[in-house]
Amino acid sequence: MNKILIVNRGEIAVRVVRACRDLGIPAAVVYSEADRASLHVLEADEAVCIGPAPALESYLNIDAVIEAARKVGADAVHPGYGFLAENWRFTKRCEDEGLTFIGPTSDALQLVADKIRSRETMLAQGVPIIPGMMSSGKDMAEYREKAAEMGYPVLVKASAGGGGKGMHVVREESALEDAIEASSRVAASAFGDDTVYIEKLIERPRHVEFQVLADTHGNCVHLFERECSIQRRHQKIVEESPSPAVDNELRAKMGETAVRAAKACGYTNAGTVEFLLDEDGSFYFLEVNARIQVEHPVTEMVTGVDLVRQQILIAAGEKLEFTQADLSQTGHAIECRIYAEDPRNNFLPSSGVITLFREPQGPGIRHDCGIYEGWEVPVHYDPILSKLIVHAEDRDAARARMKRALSDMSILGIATCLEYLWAIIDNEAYAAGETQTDFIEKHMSDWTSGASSEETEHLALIGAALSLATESGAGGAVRERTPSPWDTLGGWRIGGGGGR
Amino acid sequence: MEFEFTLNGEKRRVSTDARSPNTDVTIDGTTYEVDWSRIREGVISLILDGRSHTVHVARKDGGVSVQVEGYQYSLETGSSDDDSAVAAGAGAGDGGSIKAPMPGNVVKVMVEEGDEVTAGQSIVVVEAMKMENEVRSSVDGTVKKVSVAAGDSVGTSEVMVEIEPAE
Repeated sequence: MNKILIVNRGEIAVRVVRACRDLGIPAAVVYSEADRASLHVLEADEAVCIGPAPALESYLNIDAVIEAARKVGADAVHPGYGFLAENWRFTKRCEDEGLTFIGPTSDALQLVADKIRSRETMLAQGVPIIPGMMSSGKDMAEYREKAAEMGYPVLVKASAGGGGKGMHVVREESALEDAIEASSRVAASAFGDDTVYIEKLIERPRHVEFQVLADTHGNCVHLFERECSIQRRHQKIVEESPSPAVDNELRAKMGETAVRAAKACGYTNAGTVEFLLDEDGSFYFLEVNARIQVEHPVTEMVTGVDLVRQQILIAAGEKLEFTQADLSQTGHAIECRIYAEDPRNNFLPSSGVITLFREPQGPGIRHDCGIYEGWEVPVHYDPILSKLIVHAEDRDAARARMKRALSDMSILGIATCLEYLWAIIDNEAYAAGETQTDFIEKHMSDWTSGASSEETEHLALIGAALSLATESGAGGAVRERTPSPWDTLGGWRIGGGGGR
Repeated sequence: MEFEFTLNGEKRRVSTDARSPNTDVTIDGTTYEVDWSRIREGVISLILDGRSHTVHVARKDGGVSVQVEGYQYSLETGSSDDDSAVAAGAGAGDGGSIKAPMPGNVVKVMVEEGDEVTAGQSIVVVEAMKMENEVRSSVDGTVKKVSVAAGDSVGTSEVMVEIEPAE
């Protein structure tokens, strides 16, 4: 590859720029008018403005992206996650234009995007799926009959859906008809497809996913699991690997199934096979995420494999450099997503200038970051700012390290969920590994901020008073400076004379 | 210098001369002997009873945000010194104004002028960062003025609807 165009923004665009640098491949990025000063533009080798702030006119504008690739002379495109990452029409367009799409083929994308077709494919390969309908019902009587067969509670889902949109839990037959109508209405307006189906609801499950890598020579391996059960608003906020609920025997079985699922779809490049894991250890295929995922760093930390680098090598047609037997999990990794949102105020997104920013440091700490001090968080996009990842010998050590890293991190000027994340990691149920998908609802609903001590309140008041007292113009209370060596060195400068 | 901060709804008085590297800071009658150093703007190092703490402080509308030991505090200021930057207009307390909570676009205005509204009722839906947020009335009253329409962009604290509170 001669040059890669990264069609994304924020931390993931910065992450991909770095992978390109490590491989010695020039990295170009696209940006919207609202992102001129964004970190990914600053970090890239080349940058092209592709349109106004609204994503539909920039990051989702396929024509503008293709034109940008031509303009910079890129021969490959990395889509990151979100935006155009799982849009098969975009992938097809890249294929037609002779651009290498760093991801699966448009055929594989089309298959995994269709929930009903992918369920059929999985069933044919003996991959366990949640008991449910293989297609939409022809009438209400059929929905009723199927729901009774699998037993309540059931889940009504939109075939083309995602992110929980159009999803309804139905606990008894009397509520079924309303739920199907509502779901079909939402599906029609959100996805342009009113097809809905029903499946058995697995209560208090865990969300466990397997990372896979498949090259274009028929080799496919899994890189173990990530547990991503802790979610709010159907969005993951804390992820880890290994899962506290998976033992070696189950891991081998689920991993083998994930590889079979990926192969069944003709999948290539990096992908994730999502499962629901029941309390009794049975697991069910959920879907394939056909992209590099937000939470990929926890897998990188425990396996030592750079997934974005592998994505690029696979797209370049290379064979996987390792086999399943070469891979193992070492230690434990946890990721926290840092969002610009206010947990004190119903997670309302927050925007504005980051007036102060301090990153945590030290052994086993990684910060995949898309922000800097002085930058104004724009209102137009997803409020993810960065991801904090820690790695340690075992889960308890990783938890302790994450708590330390979160308290060492400061972001002022906008609201963030830092304190809330700390409270999750500190929670007894989290410590005990009880990370079912209802964790937030069950254990965090009574969270309030400011559950701090009188001591820290006093420290805050002292610091605020001293800071305000020393600001210029604040009553002339600027402190006298003690002379530093710089003042007393006279005409000498350290390292002076040489120049650079 | 004297400062008055509002923290979690409570007024706190803090006084200090902030002149020497070891200074007394008094909070509501409790005095601390503080060894302190200003590292740079917004970063204050404190040593209290031998324990070292770093406090991060940033300006915001009507006060400062402070972070220490992993906790974040919002302090509203009203200084007893004549310092216009410190004496801010926080807590204007006009519960009748429906203000935009953040910059965004108005998706829907749910009331018209003359409508009777009750506390908790949704007045305007504002979309920002891909999420819709309902802005509710904190008072019972009558809609006096609607200043925005669906599709308008709004900035933080921009008044969108005015409500005349009921007597």
